[in-house]
Amino acid sequence: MAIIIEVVAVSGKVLERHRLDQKEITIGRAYDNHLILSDNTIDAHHAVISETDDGIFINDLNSINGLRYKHDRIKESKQINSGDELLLGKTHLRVFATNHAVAEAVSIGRQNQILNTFSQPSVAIISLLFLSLLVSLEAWSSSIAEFKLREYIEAVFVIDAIVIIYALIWGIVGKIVKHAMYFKTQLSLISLYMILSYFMQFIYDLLLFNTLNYIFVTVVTVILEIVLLNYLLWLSLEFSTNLSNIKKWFFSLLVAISLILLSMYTEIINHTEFSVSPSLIQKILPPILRMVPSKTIEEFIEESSDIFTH
Amino acid sequence: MKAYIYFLQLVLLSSSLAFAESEQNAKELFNQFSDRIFKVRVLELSSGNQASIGSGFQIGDQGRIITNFHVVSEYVHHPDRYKIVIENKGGENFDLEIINFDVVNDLAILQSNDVQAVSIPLADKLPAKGEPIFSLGNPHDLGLSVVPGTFNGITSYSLYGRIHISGAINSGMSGGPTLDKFGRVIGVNVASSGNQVGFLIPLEHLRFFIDRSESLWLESNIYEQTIRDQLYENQENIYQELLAKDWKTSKLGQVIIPQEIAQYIQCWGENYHQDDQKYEYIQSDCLANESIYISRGFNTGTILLQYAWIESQELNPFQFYTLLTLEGTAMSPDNNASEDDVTKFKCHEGFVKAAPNDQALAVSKVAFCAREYKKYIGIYDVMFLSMSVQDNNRSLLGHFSISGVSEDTALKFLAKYFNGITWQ
Repeated sequence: MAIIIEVVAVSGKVLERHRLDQKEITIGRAYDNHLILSDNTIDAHHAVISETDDGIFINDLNSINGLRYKHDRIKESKQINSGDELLLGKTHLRVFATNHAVAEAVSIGRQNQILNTFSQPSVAIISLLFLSLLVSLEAWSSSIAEFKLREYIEAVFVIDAIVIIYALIWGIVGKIVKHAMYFKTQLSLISLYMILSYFMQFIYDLLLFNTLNYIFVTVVTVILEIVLLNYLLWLSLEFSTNLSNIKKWFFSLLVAISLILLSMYTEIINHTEFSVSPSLIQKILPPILRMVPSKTIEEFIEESSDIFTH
Repeated sequence: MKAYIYFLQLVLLSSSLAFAESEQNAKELFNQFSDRIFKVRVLELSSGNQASIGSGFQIGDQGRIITNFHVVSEYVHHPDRYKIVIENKGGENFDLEIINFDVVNDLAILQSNDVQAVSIPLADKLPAKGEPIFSLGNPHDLGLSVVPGTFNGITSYSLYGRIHISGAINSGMSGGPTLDKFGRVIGVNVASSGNQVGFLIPLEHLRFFIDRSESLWLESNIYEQTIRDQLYENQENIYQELLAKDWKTSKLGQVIIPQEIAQYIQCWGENYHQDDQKYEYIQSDCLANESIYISRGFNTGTILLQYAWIESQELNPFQFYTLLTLEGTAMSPDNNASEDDVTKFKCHEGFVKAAPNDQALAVSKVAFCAREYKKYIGIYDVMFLSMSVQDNNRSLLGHFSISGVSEDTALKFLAKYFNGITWQ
């Protein structure tokens, strides 16, 4: 028989793990203890944990800052369960019996294999280059003035800077929380997200121009944007933090919905508040992208009576 | 789509030819008429504050006073919150009531039983062109003044039949008379458009209005309905005539377009081209530069047609359509109205092909929008915007805004307008 004692951080992360075979384990700062801790709020001889046939017992050795179990200060020997947490001074300990059950292994699975490809330097570089290409293409197709190289370089530079800063921030978070940066992975993720966003903008324009149905197309696009942003944030959290699955979903969805709706704010205002000018579908596209048939003016006029109802 | 305001400034640059000789006349008139012109004021009942000020004069012998509708419009819209007061030369005040008004011709006739004043006779006919005339009124609330001017005849091309004169009509003089050299009324001061250009409501409208008001006394609860009916009847008259005749067309780029569709509509064209510009832009704006005053910040009865022909050999289709997207965003209605006056625009958008005999297989992305007048049911401001989208490097933008029309008028106008556009 033996006892496992973990020194854990406030966040729950395990800092040290000790296996102790003694029946009675003494804990304190003095070097004659079985478990020696360096926290200066702990007494030289602070507490004792004993393992008997009836279970695990703890007792305080008249320490200055005391031994706390479930928020109560322990005055006399007290039985605890395997896996319970104790507080000595400012140090958190978790105590386990050796027969304590552990969770099943998490399967590496296909999802993680796909995600691992994101960490390839080639994937990161190619997606960043492709994004830069898209940015210049967009700048070129919407330019009605003389060609100016400087403007293209600026456009690409701004987007690349945003992408790199995003990857760096998550990398730093990852370095602190998980001791791993995953910078290349984060860079691939945000680049791919931006590429998809560009495509989505194009699909949005195309749908809007062809259906001329603002509400329908906008609602569909907003939902897609939320899903996409939610995935990006979920994956970034997955690589850079230790949050549980539920927390990851919660945070990513919350941030995605808030950001997208916030960016829609002026649109919503324009569509609900009075304005002297009508709000029309502005974006028009070249003939090659027009796929719907046209009507005669008589048919159009017949359908127009709706705008005169009061 | 730029400034078409030039019209008012261009109309007349000639001035004061007859002034020297008419100075003597002006003095005499001042002495003779100073007790016949009233200051007309609309006061807020609760605070006593002055809401508007203008001039007025008595006609006939029953205490009837003529002024502009726009001088007393606050009272017409809120008879429970305002009252109309006139002040004579001696500073005496009298309360007045409205007998009748004509929102389209900007006239109102008021009644008081207490006023003892000498009336001013109406002229039998208008003076000859170039003859001196005298506008009387109360400019900027500074007291009575006589402004000599020159009669220039009725513009034959006026939507609402105004006379323009060379003479300064200033705010506050609205509602005052303009007299010929014999001291008879030839029109009512109504508006000014800058230096030495004034507008009158002509004698003919005034006489017709006086006759129609003979045995009338409008109750305040039908003011709103009366305005609505007058606006409705006016648009019926104007558009019945406008829709019945053939429209004058001209060519813009590769398209024949309706332009000066009536004599009171005038067009101005501009051609923008700069050396480093990669496209050609030709614009044509046509409008009737007159409107009907309903209340402060709310006017109607305007007609505006705008076109732009855009063509480019240098831009690729995506760049060209970016340009079209930018150009199409600048459309707005031609009249002023606020949230209190009109509903939000409702629009219908779609792709419409040109008439079957059209050679170019033109297709336009069109938007047709209407907003209703909140108080005047069945009257709308209507806007139409079309952009041809069948070609990669040329397009016609068409826009019209007509205000104060019925649904029927709007739909007929749209059909005639759209069928009047032919590609070559």
